[in-house]
Amino acid sequence: MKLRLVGLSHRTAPVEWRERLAVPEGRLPVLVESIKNSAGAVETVVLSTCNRVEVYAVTPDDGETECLLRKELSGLHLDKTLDDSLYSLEDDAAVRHLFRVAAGLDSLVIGESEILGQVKRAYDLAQRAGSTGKLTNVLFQRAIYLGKKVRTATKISEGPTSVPSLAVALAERIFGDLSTSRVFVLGAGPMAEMAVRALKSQKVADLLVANRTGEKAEAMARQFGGRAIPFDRRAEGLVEADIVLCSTGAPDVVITRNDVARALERRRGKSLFLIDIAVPRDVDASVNDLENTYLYNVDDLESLVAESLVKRRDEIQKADGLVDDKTNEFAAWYRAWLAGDTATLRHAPAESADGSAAAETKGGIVSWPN
Amino acid sequence: MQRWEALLFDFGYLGYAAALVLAVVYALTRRDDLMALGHRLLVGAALLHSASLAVGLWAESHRPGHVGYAFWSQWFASLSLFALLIVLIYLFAQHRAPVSILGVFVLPLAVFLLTLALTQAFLASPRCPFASVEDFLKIADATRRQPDIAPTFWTAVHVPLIFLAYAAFANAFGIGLAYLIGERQIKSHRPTELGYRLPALEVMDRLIAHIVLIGFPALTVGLALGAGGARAAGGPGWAGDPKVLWSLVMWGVYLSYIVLRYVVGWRGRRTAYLSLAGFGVVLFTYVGVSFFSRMHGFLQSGGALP
Repeated sequence: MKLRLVGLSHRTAPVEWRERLAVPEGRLPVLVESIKNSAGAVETVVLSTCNRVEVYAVTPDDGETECLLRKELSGLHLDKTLDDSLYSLEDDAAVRHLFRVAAGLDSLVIGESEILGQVKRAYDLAQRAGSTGKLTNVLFQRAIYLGKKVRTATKISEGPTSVPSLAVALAERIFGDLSTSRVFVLGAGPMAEMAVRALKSQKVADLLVANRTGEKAEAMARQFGGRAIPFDRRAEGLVEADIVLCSTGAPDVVITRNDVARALERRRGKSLFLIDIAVPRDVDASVNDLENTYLYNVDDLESLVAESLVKRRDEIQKADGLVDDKTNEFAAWYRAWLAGDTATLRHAPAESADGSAAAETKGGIVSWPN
Repeated sequence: MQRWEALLFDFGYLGYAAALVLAVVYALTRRDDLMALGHRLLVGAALLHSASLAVGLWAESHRPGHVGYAFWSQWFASLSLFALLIVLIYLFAQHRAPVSILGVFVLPLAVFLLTLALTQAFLASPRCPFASVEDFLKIADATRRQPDIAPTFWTAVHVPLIFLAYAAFANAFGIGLAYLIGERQIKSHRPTELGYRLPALEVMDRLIAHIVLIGFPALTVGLALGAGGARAAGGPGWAGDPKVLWSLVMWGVYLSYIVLRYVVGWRGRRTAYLSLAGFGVVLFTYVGVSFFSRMHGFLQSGGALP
């Protein structure tokens, strides 16, 4: 028996191919069954996200299976270029790869946490499809445990990784729960849209939109469920809203210090957070000197994001060290398992009668192996 | 009795100190389990500490010729009560802003006050500090004289109420400090990870205001009862007493806080500074003035009323 991994990721393939190979949850049992029949896999877990599609399978140890797995994964689409972008790993290398994926070390944004949930989900689905066994149970529980450990023991997932997520984090540091906060968007643009989406996901109370072109404001208001106000009455938006997002293409300042100062008089001391992602800038820089007013421009935000990404990169080595340790631990157990060494196996998580893992203890943490 | 009072006090003190250490470690490591443990420790310590004060109060009120409520008039017991109330109001604040590092800003005050109390005990009976508490309580009981003015019930309520106000203002001070640090970080575009563990600025701003709204009525009623009690007892010229004078200054500071915050619309940094200034007056009134006041000069007489 051999543990094999075949897959592709954002590192090896463009988004079109990842999309093409992605396995919807509904199709999963079919694929698992097919892999079992063609490649003789006794255990299979499929990890399919927007950044990667990977098949982890325990198969007979012969030269054919790798090729069969490649064909299964790519369906009828397998051509030369696609074949080149698929990677195949075995045993320890496959283990290390999964551990790195779960730790967020193989992600586009180092240390991001979504992938850990996706690994968990993939494992759950495989369990439900009845395609896990001793090896994949121990492997995936270990990967999930390690993914958590890496994020608490290192600073790899600390700090903002994008301008929109930083904008939301800062807004939360000023207002706390954003569900009572109002957002005022001035101008449109891809970055503004991303930031609005991020803020909307925090269920803000209200959204105001103004644009030099009235129709655009209307369209954006419709899209995000807000209301449009005339561009000339933007000063009123400053009174009503708590978070102001500026991204007009105007050549000059559209919000002056005076505008904000006058709005503050009517805000009764409530904090005002202005995010100016326009270039050239939309908001007079001296606005930041006003009381209870916080102004961040695109440079402020981007330098903070860059800083936090650098800090994350500094933690990679530490995280890799943890991955190495756990890979070696697993490898030792894996060999013992292959050899049927019951003394070492005793420390493995207990299994229930049907072979599925009963070891998923509190919080998904498995105490084995030490 | 003194043995129990001292034991409960000692364990309460250790609990607070441990909770403070955990709060600091939590701020540095972001380990939520430590935060939860610290909270439980704090609640436990507050219970032990309350029990210690209850035992002391009970013993005092059963001593022939003494009335229980003169208990608070001693320096040791007043520090102890002050610290307990700080912790209780902090627990209220923590309830409003859970999982935050506010403890780092508030708990040092409580621990400091109890350390002062311990120091007094240690100076009176220099054994190990914890054994000293029992000795000290015995000595204090043996040497304590009844105050010149027999305390009435109203003057007795006056003291805990004033300390409730002081404790609220101490919390407002600690949170005000945290606010100013958080505000500076965001304003200067240098938010740190540590800052992310503070409650949101608006949350802290409201919390300070609400805590002042607890403290101010307590102070008002406390002062009125003190004044009324002194008049009823026909005591010496309390109006000229520096402590009374400074208490009025304090009352003015917090009244202006409330008016500026709720009527004029001041918020944020300015009111945070006001909460800092107010607590400065509290400290001066509590400690500084005691050296000059005949009526409230707890320090001159080593722990007993003059």
